[in-house]
Amino acid sequence: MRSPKDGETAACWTMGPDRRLKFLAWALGGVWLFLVLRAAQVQLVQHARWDHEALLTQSRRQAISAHRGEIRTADGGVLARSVANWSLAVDPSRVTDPAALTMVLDSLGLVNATDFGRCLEEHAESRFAWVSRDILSEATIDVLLRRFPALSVRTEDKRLYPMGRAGGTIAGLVGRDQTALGGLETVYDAVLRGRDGAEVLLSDATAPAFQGFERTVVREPESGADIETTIHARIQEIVLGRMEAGVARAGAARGLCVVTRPATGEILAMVQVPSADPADPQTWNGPNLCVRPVTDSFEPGSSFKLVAFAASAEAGLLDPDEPINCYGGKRPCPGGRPITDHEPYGVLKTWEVMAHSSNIGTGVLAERVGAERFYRMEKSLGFGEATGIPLPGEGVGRVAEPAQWSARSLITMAFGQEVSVTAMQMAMAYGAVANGGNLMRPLLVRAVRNADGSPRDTIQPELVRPVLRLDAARELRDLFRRVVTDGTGKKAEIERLRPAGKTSTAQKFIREEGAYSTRRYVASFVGFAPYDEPKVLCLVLLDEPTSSIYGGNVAAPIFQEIVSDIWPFIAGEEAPPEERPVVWKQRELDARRPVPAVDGIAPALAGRIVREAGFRPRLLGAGVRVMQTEPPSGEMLLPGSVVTLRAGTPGDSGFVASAMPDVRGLPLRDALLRVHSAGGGARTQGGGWVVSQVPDPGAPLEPGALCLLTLGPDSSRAYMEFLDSERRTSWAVAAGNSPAEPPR
Amino acid sequence: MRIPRVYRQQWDWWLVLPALVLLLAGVLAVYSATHLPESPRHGYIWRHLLSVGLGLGVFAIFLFLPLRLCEDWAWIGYVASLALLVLVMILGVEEYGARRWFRVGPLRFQPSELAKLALVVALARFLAGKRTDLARPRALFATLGMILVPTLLVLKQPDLGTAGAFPGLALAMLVWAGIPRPALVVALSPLVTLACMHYWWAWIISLLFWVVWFRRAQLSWFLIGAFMAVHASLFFTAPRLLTRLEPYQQQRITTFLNPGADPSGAGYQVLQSKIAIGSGMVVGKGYLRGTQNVLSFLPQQHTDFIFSVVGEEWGFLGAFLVIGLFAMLVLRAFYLGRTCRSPFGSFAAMGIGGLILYHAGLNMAMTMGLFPVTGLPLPFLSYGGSFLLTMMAALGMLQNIAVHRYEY
Repeated sequence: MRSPKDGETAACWTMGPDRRLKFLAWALGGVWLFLVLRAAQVQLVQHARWDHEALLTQSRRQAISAHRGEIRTADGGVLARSVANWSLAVDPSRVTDPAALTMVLDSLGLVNATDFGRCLEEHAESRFAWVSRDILSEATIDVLLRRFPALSVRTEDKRLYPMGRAGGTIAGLVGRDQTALGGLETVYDAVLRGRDGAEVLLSDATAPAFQGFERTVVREPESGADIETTIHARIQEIVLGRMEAGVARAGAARGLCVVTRPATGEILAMVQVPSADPADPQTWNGPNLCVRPVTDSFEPGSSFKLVAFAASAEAGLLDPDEPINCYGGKRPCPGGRPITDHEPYGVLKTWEVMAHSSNIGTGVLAERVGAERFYRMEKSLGFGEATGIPLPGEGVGRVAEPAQWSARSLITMAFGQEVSVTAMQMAMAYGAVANGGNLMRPLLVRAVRNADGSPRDTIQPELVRPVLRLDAARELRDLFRRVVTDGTGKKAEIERLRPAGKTSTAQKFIREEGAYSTRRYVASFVGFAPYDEPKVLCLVLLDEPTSSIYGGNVAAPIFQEIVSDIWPFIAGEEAPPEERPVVWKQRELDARRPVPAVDGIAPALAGRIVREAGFRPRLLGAGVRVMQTEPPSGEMLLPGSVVTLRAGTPGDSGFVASAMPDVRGLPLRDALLRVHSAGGGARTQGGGWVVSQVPDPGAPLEPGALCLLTLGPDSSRAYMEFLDSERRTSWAVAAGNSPAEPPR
Repeated sequence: MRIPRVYRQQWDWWLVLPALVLLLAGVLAVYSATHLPESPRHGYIWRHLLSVGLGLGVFAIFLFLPLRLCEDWAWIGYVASLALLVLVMILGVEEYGARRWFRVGPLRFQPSELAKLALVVALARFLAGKRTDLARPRALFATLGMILVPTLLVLKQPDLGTAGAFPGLALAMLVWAGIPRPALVVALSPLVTLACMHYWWAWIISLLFWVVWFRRAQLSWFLIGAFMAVHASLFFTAPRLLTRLEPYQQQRITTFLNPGADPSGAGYQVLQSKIAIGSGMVVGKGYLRGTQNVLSFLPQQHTDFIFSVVGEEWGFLGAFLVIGLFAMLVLRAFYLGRTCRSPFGSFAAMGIGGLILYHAGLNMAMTMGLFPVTGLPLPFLSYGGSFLLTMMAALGMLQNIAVHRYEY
């Protein structure tokens, strides 16, 4: 066999043909061995490692958020509740047609076109960005997801505060990511939150966030517990109404009100005006988010006279008919200006000192009791210490020790200067008088229930300490009753309930001036009813009233209104309708609302619309459109009534082809949802509310037909009709020119 | 047309069978890599089958093309291929930062693939020439020049992997041509210096080794000095040249040296490929069941990383089989080169064997993280028209040589 070049290359270092072939074969064998050994190393030796890595790349562990517990009121109302909510996210790296996506999302009112465009650009490399974290209808989401694979959906709980302003800030707030931002939400966060579960999501390299083809739940989420407060929803609502009216009437800057059951210390209502609505960030200005009856301290004024009288009674030094020298309304006092009364009194009986709120007389009583006993009673009634109410940021007020007192401190303290207290402390102190001498811990949460409703923890009323002997408390109650019958609190009188209480008109101490203001006052009334067997205690406080500065004039009437309005709930019996307070009846009438028109709309969306209108939807039949409702739309019903939705599918007997809904007067998003769910597409012009629509309401709507919605800033009917006729003309003209394009 | 009897008598199944099995494995693997409707390359299997069909046609053409004709047209083919390489730099389509392709309507064509085959034929003709003696510097330098021109042109595109194919395939032919051993060593020695680039002590040792070896081969001190000078300049300029590489090339080298450094970035491909192959274990996850493949974690799984699909779905057995089939094919090519009576056929067979060895070896090494990612497809398996046609043409020529191996 001949090999090329044989014999032609004679150099000593040249190999023969067989050696050359061997050389090549060895090289090949080397490569072969090299590859096989490597394959063996990777696949046979290291396989466990690579197998694990493979699993890691395919799976993502993510939390399943636990359902947050409810915060309920004592009468079955709800202060805070979590509902499922869909959030839409986008994977910018998978967006193929940003323009189309932006247009559709914009037309649904989910994003602002320019902002979203910029967002897509900025996050072009990233895999995740939120589109909208608000509730959407399931129907819309299905459509969006099918059309744009870059979108993904995640269900997230959204916290609702159904009582709105009336619930105020007691419940607090929960942020988007389920972080508690105050109120009971913060204090009971650990209980409410539950425990997040976990799931492992198997997905491919290109899947958008939250989506995968297989989910394995590693740990089920544990729903949080519900907490039941002592707050009474209806009382809370009534109190808010009365307080808002009262604050407006008095021209006050703000108002506080605390309603308790003195025997147990239960808080039935706690209201502040202005009040924040947890659902409306515009109302969240600064201090509104605090529960001010608990956080804010103020100089109490005359209501603090309780201390001098209670100390006297406890020491056995109180005789209601004993004459007290009131120095004719002006008594020199060491270390400052003389003490004055609002009216010159000569000699008053002890009960008159209380009834007419004589500063000088009270000072005399305090001097007689002495600094030590006075101070002990102050502390004993709970002033200067936290009440222990489960709310964040509780104020403790300020009660100086006798060692720090000046020569006039005892006297000025006796009528409520040089000390500061919170409304809650004051309510609890008066509660001790009302219930026969026991200082109670404020009770705001009375039970914690597991998600299945079984009780987990019941919180009993708690006695802080006994403060007064029973007869001393009775003596004091009699005195406070005379304030209402014969003294400064006459406007608080309710004949059948015989309330007792104390007015207070405190000058505000202006720190910048270092003196008490002569123009700015805190007017309050704290009282209970009935005086001999108190069932309810109410503290009303107005800050800087302008119509009158006197607690007896501005706060006492509010007390009177509130206590008489809420009495039916306190007494545990619902008054017959004709005896119900006017406010309540009016409310019930006002509450009736029309059944919304949802014919031709997808059942899921219709259900939501009905639910949002305050009714309970009941779906009958299966189908893609609601055919009719029962009762028909427009009927006036009380909230909570059942509205039956009958669903049908095209082709069913009795199915009416989808009709163009009436969307005039609706905001953009609502209008679009209705048009989309009726099967139409929409083009929009302008912003604000829908002022005109083509086609007309009720006109048959082909699936996918394009509707033109014109939006304007004003939704008043006249303006709408005007614009409607305008657009109709231009639409007709444009349709004549180019049928495919709506007018611009 | 009657098929000459010799085609039946001398038909070499040892050559065709491994290639057909590899081709079939390729079709199956490409389908697996692209079959999911979610895959952005869904439906590529049809294009691949079209390429395979065309490839079989090209195989037939080269099977019956008289070898004499190839030899006669060798120079024209070589020059034409060089012309195309120059032309593509001007008229080519730029993709992924490189000008490699001509585009005619929907068709794309990569002239560097053609150039490989042209070099094989031209070099075979040159080396088969009666007057060519590689022991003479003139012939040696002419040969090196023939190799270097297309190499540099492709390097300029830039396409490092393909450029390396020219010296790669030529190496087998030069060895077979009986290149003087010192010349071979001298030709390969720069690789050693480059390998020692960052380790000066290793380089010094390698230099000492060269000196001893050259003295034993009785090379003059002058030549040894010149050799040392070249190596010294290479050693000191190479790191600087390296920084002038395209950024993606630099990154691939860094990534190769330390793949864990940036697992989601440049190291991603290699890491994912290793994960896929490694998690295949002994018998694999089963056809169409490769999670990394199906879930599109694998990068370029239908082209350059097709071997990782094989490794994942058919395990070590599949990988072993594919490596083995390539070894069989190359070994058979070398064997044909040894047995072929015509010098031209003999060299061409060696060149084609070298070509397959270069591509298959480097691609699989790269897929298993043994070599920087260079962007080389795997012969017969990878999706990609130009390359598949080239390999089928080469196979056709190889079978042609096999059939006529006893003719002179």
